Amino acid sequence: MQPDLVQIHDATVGFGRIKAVDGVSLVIQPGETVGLIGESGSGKSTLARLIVDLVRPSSGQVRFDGRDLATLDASARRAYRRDAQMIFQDPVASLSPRLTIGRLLAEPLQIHGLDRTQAWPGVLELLRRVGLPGTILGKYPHQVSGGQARRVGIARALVLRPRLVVADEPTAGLDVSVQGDLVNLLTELQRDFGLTYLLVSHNLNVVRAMADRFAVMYLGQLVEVGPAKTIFAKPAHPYTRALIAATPRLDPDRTQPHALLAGEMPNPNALPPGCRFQTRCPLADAHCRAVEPGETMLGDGRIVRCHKPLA
Amino acid sequence: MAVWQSPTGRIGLVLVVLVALFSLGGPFVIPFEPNKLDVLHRFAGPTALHWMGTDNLGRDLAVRMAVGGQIALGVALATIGLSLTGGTLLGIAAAYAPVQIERAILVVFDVLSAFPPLIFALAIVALLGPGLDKVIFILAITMVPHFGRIARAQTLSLKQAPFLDATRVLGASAARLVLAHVVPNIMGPLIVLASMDIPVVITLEAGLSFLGIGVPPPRASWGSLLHDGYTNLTQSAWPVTFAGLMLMLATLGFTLFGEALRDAIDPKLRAAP
Amino acid sequence: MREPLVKIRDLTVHFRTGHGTAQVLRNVSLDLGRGRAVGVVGESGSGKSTLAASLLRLLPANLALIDGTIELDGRNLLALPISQTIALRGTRFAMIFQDPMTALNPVFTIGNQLIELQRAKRPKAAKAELRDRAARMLARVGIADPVRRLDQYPHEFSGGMRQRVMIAAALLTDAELLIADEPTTALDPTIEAQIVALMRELHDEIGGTLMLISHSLGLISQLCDDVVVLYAGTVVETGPMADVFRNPLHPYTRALIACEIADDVTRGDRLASIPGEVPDVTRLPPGCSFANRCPDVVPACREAVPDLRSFGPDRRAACSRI
Repeated sequence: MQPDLVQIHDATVGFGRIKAVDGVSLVIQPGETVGLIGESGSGKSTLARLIVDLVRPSSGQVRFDGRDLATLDASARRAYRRDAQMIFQDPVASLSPRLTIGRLLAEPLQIHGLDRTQAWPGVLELLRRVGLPGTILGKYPHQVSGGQARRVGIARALVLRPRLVVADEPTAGLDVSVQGDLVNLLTELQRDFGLTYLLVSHNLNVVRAMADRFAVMYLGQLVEVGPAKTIFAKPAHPYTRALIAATPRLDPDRTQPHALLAGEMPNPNALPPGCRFQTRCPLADAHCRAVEPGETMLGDGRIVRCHKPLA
Repeated sequence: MAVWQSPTGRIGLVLVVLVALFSLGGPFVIPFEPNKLDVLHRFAGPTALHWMGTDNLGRDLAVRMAVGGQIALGVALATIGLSLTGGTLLGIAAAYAPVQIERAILVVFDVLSAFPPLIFALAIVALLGPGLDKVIFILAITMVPHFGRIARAQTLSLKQAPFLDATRVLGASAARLVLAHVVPNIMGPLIVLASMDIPVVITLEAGLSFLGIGVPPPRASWGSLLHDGYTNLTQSAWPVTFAGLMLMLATLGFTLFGEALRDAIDPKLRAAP
Repeated sequence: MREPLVKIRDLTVHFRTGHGTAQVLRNVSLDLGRGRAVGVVGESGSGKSTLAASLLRLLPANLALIDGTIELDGRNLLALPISQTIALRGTRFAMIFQDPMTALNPVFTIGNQLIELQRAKRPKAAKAELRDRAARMLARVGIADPVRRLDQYPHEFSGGMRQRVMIAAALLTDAELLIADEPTTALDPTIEAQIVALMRELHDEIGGTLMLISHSLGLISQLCDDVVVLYAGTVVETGPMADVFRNPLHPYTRALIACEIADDVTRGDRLASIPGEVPDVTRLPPGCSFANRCPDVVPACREAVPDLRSFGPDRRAACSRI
């Protein structure tokens, strides 16, 4: 078995009572696609930022290729930056407004001292691969459409030929009629460039089409991790089941119940004792309200954080 | 250029160009030395020989106006250049620094703003003596908070921008982030502020010179010309009139130009959907 | 069959833009049946938000043209002076917006806002009575401890709660027509599911007329009785929701349904999409606006805009190839 590409070991981000990420451990293996699933307040964005070193854990480690990110010296960090890239949720806002697309795509080469004349044909090829015309190089971010900006973001993330790409809500704001195109593109790029993906999203439909494994987060903790097919068919955690049921789907006969949860998320400043999901869980009992569940391994290799897993 | 499109902007630009041409070219065209005394012909009115007449010591007024213009423009540009650079760097530093350093910088800004420029000038001149360089120094220091606060506010609102995160993930150093990404995106309002401050600095310099604590005589400055003209008003009204007129046209021109520049840049800042 | 509450006929709206006249809506005709929940399916560029705005005459200053009729009680709202349409807002028509934070005034308490909006219909009522109605409505939409929450400010509510407050506000107006423009788009899926269940419950119970505008077919299938499919400013298909979604007539509707990701999709499967882009409404090609993306296109499609034709009771589609 290949060594893990990314290892997050018991990472926590935050101090005192509010922890955006609370004791999360996760591995990502080369070549796989992990879907990091959660809603607002789950901490998934913070976890993604941990992996690309935009934020440091207050405890625990994040290791890339076996090396702890916090201990990298300047040149090792630079090398790591070539290997781990990110595609941001808001495509236009992630492009520096006063630079042309051409300069934006050349910037990674400049930063890493790569010979531009040698590398530029590769960049042009990337442009072609993502479906953008050469004329876009002279334009500014505010002059291109949202869809084009999204593709520029993808191209830019691949200029350095990274090994890991974190995609934050890659289809956010896209109409259903065009999101298929983008998902297909990401899948092809993964195959052609040998990429490992971490997909961060709350859209289970899109994640299903791309992920090998799901990692579901709720209020800073991982509540279920395992093979995507298994989880989708038989979710073990009540939250996962509710999220799957809530995923919008065409249902003209109205056969499926969609809202399985009641209640609201607790205030992260004042978490109740016991399981964090108790305020919305249809199965919560006195034990759930007293004792926080730890991670248990199910027979099929999944990890669940629940006293009463469904599977 | 959008500034040309606004009628007031056009007037402003024309005035600015005229003042600049006169100040820079005047001494070459006018056949008199600015400090050459000719007491016999003092307080002369405007003639074909002396276009603006002569002052209380017989010196040609027109060439002194031109030299005064060079000083006014030179001081304005030097002062604004220094305070803009210093203020911007301090402002960006304040936005990124840890809390204690940020607070220290803000306190410095508050202290500098609290000093009325004229009192501060009096103090510096009393300590170090008068001089052109002292004038620039005094004015630049008092204007640093002015740019610094705006630079800090702009940087703070920019800090969360995803494109800064994206550039960091690409591996950019802090220097590259600040110089290539932060500065270009905060410069808009700062440039406009700078251009609208030119008339302010011109007036401040004239004020200091009028009081005698600015550019020391015999060097001509609009302020000292105004002072000399004012003290000898009963002998001749021409020096005061011309000096006043020059000052007014210069400040009016730069003000109109600065406002047109602001209007031209602002909508573009609020730019695209 | 009762007369529809609102009849829109040949609604046409154009805007002046920097690069020409945008023909945002062209000959839009649809009925809002009394007591029915009508879903308007629209993606980006369909003109759906302009449609909602037109009903309330909340149109921007660069309006170049508005034509056609919007009939309420037999009177054409577009022919009335604007003051009369303004009088309809908050009394007979109410709207729920996509982003509840911008619809609620951040400097006033929820209670204050919920009480004030009731005064449009109850100008002489006692404040205590209006406050009581507001508290009961908050409870009805699932907000716990409503009396205390009346004294809180919008920022003290989560996104889902704020949307519940918006629904409560809309219901407090006792309006006959509720227009909801992408009401759940800004919400997380599990919260969205709760809001949708609430809206369905309330609609079943109260029975008002609902116009729901959304790009989500799933949402419309959960809430609506009838559906209108909007593409690039024109109506391409209408009919009862279950009918249209099970047997779509128009190629756009068919393609849209095909893009829904099926339950058996897994990693590596190729997803369907509609090639091309929505046409630029400042530079519309002649003929059918879907022609350049349509799998069934023939040359005749590009010559004339197809009429909205009947295909049975209540079913209409605008395509020459059916």
